[in-house]
Amino acid sequence: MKVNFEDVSDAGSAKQAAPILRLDGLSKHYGDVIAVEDLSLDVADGEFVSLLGPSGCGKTTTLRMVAGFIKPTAGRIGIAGKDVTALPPYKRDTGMVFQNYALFPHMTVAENVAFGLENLGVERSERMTRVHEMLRMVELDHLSDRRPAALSGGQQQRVALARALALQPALLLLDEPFSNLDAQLRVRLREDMTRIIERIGVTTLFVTHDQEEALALSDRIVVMSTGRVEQIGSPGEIYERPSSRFVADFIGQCTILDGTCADAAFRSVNGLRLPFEAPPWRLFAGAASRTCTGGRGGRS
Amino acid sequence: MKSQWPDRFLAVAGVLTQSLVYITMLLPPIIVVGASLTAGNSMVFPPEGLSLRWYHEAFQNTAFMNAFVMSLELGFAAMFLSLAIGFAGAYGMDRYRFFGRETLRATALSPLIVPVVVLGIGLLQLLTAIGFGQTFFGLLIGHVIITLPYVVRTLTTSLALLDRSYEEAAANLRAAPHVVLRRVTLPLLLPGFLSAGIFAFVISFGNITLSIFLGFAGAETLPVQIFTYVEHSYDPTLAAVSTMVIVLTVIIMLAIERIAGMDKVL
Amino acid sequence: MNSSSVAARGTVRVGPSGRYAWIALTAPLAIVLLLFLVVPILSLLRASFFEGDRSFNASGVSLEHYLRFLTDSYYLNVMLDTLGYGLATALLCLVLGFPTGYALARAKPHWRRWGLIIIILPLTLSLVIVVFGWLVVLGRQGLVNQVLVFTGLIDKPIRLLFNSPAVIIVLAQQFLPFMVLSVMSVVGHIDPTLEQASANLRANRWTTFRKVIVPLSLPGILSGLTLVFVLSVSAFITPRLIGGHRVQMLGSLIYEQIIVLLNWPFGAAMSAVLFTVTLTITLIVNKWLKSHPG
Repeated sequence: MKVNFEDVSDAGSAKQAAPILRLDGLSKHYGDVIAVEDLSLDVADGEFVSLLGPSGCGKTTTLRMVAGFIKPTAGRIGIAGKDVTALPPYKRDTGMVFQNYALFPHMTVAENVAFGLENLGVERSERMTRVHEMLRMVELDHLSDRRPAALSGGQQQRVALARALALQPALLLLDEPFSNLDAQLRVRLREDMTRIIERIGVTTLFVTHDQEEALALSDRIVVMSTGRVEQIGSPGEIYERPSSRFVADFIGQCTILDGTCADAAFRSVNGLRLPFEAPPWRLFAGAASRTCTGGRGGRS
Repeated sequence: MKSQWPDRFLAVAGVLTQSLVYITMLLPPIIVVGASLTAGNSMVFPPEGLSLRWYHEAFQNTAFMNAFVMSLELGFAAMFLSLAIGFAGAYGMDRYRFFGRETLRATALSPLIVPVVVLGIGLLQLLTAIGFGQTFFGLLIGHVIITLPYVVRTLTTSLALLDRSYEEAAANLRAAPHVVLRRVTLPLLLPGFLSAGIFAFVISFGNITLSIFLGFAGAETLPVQIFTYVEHSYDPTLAAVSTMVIVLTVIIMLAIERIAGMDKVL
Repeated sequence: MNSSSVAARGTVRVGPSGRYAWIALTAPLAIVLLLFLVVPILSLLRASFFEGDRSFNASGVSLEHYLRFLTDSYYLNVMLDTLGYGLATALLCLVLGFPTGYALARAKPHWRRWGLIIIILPLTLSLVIVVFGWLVVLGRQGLVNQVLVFTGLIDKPIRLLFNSPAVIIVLAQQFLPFMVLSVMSVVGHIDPTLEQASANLRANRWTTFRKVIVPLSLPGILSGLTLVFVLSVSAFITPRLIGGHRVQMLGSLIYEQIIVLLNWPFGAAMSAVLFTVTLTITLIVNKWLKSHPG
């Protein structure tokens, strides 16, 4: 499926400024295996965009291409108006929170946060100020001398966020940052993180397989499947008006009925008749032209 | 149900064999330590009374002490050289795919199975031909060759087990490749480095088979000195010297165990 | 996501940048191995074809040393004895090493650590010290003789050294670590539930051992046997000190030719024969192991 650029710019909260992240026809093939195919996407300044899809849909590959860890087979990547396609990771203006956080185990919390600033050559006193500012922001200033191993999972995640944001990157990359946490903690930390990200207003690209997270956090969601974009839209649009059977199936709880269309109505295989003029339900054409699929949104 | 006797037999045989194995492994060094403590004049077990007189004797023996220092120097030099060459190679083989990579890896591990007489004679011949016969350099390079398999194998395993996301995180935090290597990769590989280095030292320190070909008057290593001594006679001085080596080795092995766990080295 | 991130590993560029960085990194290793491992072996092969028995400035091409070796029944017998000792040592290591390696693989981590330390002790201790220890243990006034006299099994101390069983025992003790480690690493990869499944199917332990454990650990057994065999047939310190003049092995003959008699070409020819034998066996076993994985 091709992304329609007109739709994309209308869908967000209408931003005319140059996008912070621009992906243009991005593809990644491993031999015959297609990881990502022809992905185009603009992320506006301050926007929170999720890449959502099941395992193997290409969302992590996309994120790693943006960070520079994987070289795309085709297409271009632009960050903050600069073409970074050929640049190595350390010359890209991104901050990333890894799935396992990847906090350096041989450094303290403060040293972890200071690491990026040192690489930028930030002066020592300013570095210290910034480190403690970041740690205060994530409410971990009192643990600055601890080693990561002495922190809880939630605390580690906040350090990883502070470390990524310390450089004030143009683009924040989040790789399934909640997947290593237990269910209860997940919701609370999700709220904490959103609050921080909103306060800073950093543009964020978020990878998740959890539709609930995506729906709760995002300005826009990119639903992916087998390397291709299924739909791009606001959480509401994705939820209310899934554009394909895959999206309908993947998002929310919905009932999908197979059946045929005739006489301005849909008739399911087990006999249920739904007239076309009575939403909330949507019709997706199946591969065989005479068979249609009806999906019912599961809003309660 | 089939008869039970094979099971019983198997269980008993297993326990007996293992006891025998562990006793046999420990027996020679324990006997040497015991014999070194004798107050008498000959190597008998149990010793005739306890004394440290043979240690005094050993320390007075300049040939042994010089050889001891020689072995220490050689061991450290071989360790550092082997670590430097081995790490660069293991790192290159881990990070890049190139033609001949598997051949290089196999060759680096092969000194373990090349008969030492073959390596010893070949090296002796070559070194003599290029004017390095009977030099410390010749002895050193031989020891580097025989310690490389352990270093390359240990560091290859450490590199393979290293979580790449640390290096990616560092790169994401604007660290240039040499900064990633210095500040993240090398510190995280420290346990592997320590065990590879210590093992290389121990192997070099104890080596007799190669040193006997490459050593020369004035550069006898401790094992060579012990060998020459044993060939003629053996008295408790030898046991005292050997005990020092045994104690040193055991301490070093326990250190590796503490640092990295033995299973990573082998 | 797993499949793609695993595939992605190959393209991650975290090494020093530049197309030829791998050359700079691997060159020292490659050069050292080439100059001081490959070239010496080749020059040894060359020396084995020299004419005469001069150690220096030898020249010419001749098969005289090989002919001497292969036509003299003394050398041939030593060669056969050496192979026999190697085989006996390897089998003894298998009998002792398999149960030990198997038990270590299945032991609790704490026991495994201490077991391993004891097992690899002879590997880390200088060989000459281990052999010296055996001289004391097996000597006329040694532990074994004392025990035998004390228990009344013998009247006076007997000679336990300078015979082939002593050489085989000492060789086996030295190289047992390699057997134990290679059995251990293979057994460590066998799922214990397979054995439980077998027991659950009313197989007794003997049957389980024969039909499940042995076939699955065959690669470890084979590589252990090969390594012990190769190391044993190349030994020369042990046969020299433990075997004395009564037990001759190829390694000690070579050592004598080179160090004592200074006949390098003949020593080189014997080394070449030894190297060919060990290399052939290693290559055959490796090939078999590659074609029968698991």
